[in-house]
Amino acid sequence: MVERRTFTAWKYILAAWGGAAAILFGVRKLTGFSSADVGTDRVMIVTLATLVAIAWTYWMAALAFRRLDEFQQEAGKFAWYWGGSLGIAVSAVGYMFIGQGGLHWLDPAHFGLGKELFRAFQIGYLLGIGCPMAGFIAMRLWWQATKR
Amino acid sequence: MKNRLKVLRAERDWSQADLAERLDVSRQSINAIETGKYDPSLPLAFRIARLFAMPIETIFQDD
Repeated sequence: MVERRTFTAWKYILAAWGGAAAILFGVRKLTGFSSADVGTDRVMIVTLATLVAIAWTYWMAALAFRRLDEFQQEAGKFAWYWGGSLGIAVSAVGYMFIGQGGLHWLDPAHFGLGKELFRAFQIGYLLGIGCPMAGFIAMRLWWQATKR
Repeated sequence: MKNRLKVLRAERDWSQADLAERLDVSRQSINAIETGKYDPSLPLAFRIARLFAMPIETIFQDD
């Protein structure tokens, strides 16, 4: 049987995902943007909507985390630290494979080669890997500064 | 770290769920503490000691 605290935490997690999806799809419906519209309005509105969706998700995640007891919180921290760092480490292998033209090698018809394509891939990868690492460093410094 | 939680709980005829409710933690936590797979934080150890009206060191012993 699922315990009350776990059930409540899952409700917050569902609210986080549902709310974020509603914000992003809502903005898309309201503005009628399509993937072909590339302009200042689309970039700014979608970026701001994502910021709001992420703020909502983070708030719900914090509420879910606070509902858990210390054992469950420790499990989450352990999984994020070791699972997350392992995932980042393993992604470097994928980065090298794709960056060296691995997808083109596997499926030349659908994955081209080119400087621009590699640059876009590089930016996407570094954004995904750089933000968690910057967050880790910021939290580590905050801990050091406040706990001495 | 060893502990006498299982014995103390059994003496009172409490289930893991009963103890979990009294300590406001999950049943998983009680099971993990009893089996020595998880050492509770100091605040939780104090709550356990208060519940059983015993000093912490009589419930938890260093290996």
